[in-house]
Amino acid sequence: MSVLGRLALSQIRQKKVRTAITVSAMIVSSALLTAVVNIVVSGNAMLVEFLGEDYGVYGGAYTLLLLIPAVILGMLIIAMSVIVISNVFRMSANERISEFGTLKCVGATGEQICKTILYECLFLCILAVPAGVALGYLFSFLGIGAANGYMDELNVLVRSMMKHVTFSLSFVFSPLALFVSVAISAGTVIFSALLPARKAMKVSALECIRNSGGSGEAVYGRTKAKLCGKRRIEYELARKNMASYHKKMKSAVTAFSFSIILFVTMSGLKEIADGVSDYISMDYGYTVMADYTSNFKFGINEETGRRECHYAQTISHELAEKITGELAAYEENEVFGMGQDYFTYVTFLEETEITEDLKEVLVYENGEDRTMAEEQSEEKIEKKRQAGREEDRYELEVEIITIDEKHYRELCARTGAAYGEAILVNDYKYNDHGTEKHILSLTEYTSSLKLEKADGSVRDVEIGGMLSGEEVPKEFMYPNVRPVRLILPFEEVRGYNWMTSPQDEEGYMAYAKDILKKYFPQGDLDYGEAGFVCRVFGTQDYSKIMNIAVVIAFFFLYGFVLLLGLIGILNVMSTEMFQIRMRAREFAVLQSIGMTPDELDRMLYLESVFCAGKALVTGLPAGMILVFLMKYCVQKLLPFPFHMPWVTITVVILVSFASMWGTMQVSMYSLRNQNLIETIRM
Amino acid sequence: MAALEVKELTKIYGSGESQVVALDHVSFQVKKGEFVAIVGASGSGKSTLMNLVGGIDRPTSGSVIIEEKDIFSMNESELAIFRRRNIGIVYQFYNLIPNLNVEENIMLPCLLDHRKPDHEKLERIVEMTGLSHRRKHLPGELSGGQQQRVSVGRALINDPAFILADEPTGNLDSKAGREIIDLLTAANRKAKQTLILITHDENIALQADRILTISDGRILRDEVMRV
Repeated sequence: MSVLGRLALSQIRQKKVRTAITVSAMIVSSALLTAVVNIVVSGNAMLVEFLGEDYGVYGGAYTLLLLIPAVILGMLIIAMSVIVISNVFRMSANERISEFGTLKCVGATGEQICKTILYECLFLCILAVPAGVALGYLFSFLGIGAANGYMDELNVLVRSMMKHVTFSLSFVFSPLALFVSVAISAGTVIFSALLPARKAMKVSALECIRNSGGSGEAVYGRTKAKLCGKRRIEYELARKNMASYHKKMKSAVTAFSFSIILFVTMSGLKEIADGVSDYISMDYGYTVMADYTSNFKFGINEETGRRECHYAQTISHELAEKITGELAAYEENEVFGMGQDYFTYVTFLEETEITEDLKEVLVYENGEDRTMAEEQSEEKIEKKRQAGREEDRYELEVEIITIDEKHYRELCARTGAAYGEAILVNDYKYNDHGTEKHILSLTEYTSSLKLEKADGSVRDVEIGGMLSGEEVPKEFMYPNVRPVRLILPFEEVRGYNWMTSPQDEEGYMAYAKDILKKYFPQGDLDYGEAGFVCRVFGTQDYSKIMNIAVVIAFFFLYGFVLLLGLIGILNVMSTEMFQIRMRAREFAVLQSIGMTPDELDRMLYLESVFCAGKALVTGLPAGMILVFLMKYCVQKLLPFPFHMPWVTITVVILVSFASMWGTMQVSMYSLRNQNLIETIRM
Repeated sequence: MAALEVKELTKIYGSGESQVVALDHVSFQVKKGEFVAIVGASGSGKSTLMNLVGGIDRPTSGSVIIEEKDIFSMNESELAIFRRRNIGIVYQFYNLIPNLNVEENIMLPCLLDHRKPDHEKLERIVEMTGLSHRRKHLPGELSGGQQQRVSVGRALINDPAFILADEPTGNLDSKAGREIIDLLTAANRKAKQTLILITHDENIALQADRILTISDGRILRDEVMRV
């Protein structure tokens, strides 16, 4: 072995603790990269089985769906690994600076200095990369196994709603993936070592020699922090040291902040996912829902220039009623049938006909410009003028609701409407900065409405009764509503739901599927081809599927974040231990001029508090801002309840201080065994 | 009255065959205000003696009594506090704290004792050490001689009973060395501070009131040069 190789080997043997930390960081980094590659391979196998060799029509989208998270995760892991591993090698190079000086003085070239650091890296790679890749395979195998447990449950649920769907994530061994894993892992590690190695080769021999002895072992920057005796000396020294060692601790603090950001963001994401899952889970007091939904597309009416909706196959009141009757025949269940049409009608109302609350909400939701009919596009205004309409009116979308005969009669009785008359559901819910709020949309004196279609035809509707506030049945509290909601008994609508709570759920679901198949034969056609879709499912199944999907996603994400955090903590540990070792002489001098061991401990604890504090000061707000932004974006769509992940934030704060404090303790323990005089003479 | 009393001081490193007796039953006394030079060949035990007198090492047996206190009866913390109040140490390699500037390094023993620094005194010491124009410099920005002057300033700031100097000129050129010895002897003569100085340099030793020659861990000679 060449002398450079022997020097590198002796370095590894001498610095056992640092070697152990470096190897651990390399192993975790390689394991994570391998796990990402394996999950991509297994995910690909699942999609191929599910969608066909080229992922079918949406191939590009699915490829992106798989590759984007993989690339982001891979980049995160590589970035963290490079920060950590290059930091370890930089510390190693700093420690060996006098050795490099001597080598240079006796004729070693810059390349040879670079080589000796790379040899150290290669020796560690030989051990760490295979171990890391093996661990990565173990992680993927266990992870995929655990995820599959949930997949089975997911498949049972998904099959009750859709056809021909089986998700199965199986562990796939691919020699190419193994090669890619080894190449990426080794490449990351070698690149990390190359950065400080190239820097070390540029340092002049004179500089190396100069930095090898005396009190000027490093060049310290001036700091603003001053010793003035106003506070306890341990505090003032710790503050000064933090400022002086700012650059040396930068990588540790950055990696630590990075881990904190990841943890907080991940927990925030989980809170958001849980909030969304809670919001969309439908709980109307029924356990099974059967539904029919027609396909639709928007077009522009040639005569009026207004947007109009074309339904592929609507469902009539008579047919819906017939199906209601047949479904209710099973176990003589109580079935609540309800259909909606959102896109056929609009109504123009005077300012006095709508409530102040609705006006405010419309401004809040759309901005005033777009709600007032008068301020719409010039083309529209012209068309309205031709139709002889006044322009200072509100154009509101109308939601037509039709319900089964039995329940319609009940509502008529409750509201005093005559059979056949329209009932106004005077309740509009909207997303008020992420909170769901209910308001009255029309005044209580509203007695008739003019409903207008896109073709300009107008239909007068007399309102026989009104439901508002607490009177609105829970079945009407679905997420998607319009400002004007009318129950019309004999309408043709886009879709229809039949809700019930049968004793024998399985039996009823099979029965309901047969009934729907009888009236809406779909054959092997999909939603687009048939023009409609029918489903029969447990009302909790949606949230269950969502929950399972969330659990699977977070199972992997948390795993990665935990291990990335571990790399970050390893980095902090190695940096802190290195710093303390490098400062052994400084501590010995402080003790020789009268600093007590307790005062020294206090100074170092304060330094660890400042260091953790610094990482928290940058990491926590950044993480919380990210969470807030994600929450803000999602709440624009859904008014779900959200809480900052305070528990995680508290845990993160405690773990940050504890890991810093623990490392300080361990490092100080090794120092306590050192002889004060020997250390001073170093 | 003796300011320092060393009784039967023995220090043995290692055990068995590798045992080294660095100090072998050494006893002597130093009077208040005395300047004692300790000379001897390398490995004779003079630095071990100084480290024991300074309380930064513990003996195998024997005692060191300073101002009627056996310093080894104290625990680590008590000894550290005693050291910062009573002993000023000057090392061959300066041993300054690299991220503290000249003033802060000088004030350090005072600050460690949780006392507000006496600015007049600091000013006097900075003037005396000739570092007025470098007071905000970091050690890395000073020459060896200047660093050692800071180290002497640090040893003097608390008006210690003793100044222990371990080859303070060993790493300096003759001019810088002379300046350091002048500073130390001035403290000894003007402020009546007891000075114990280890040196290889015969010319420096000859300036002392008394010369102790150590060889193989024992006092070979104890010569009084002036009374």
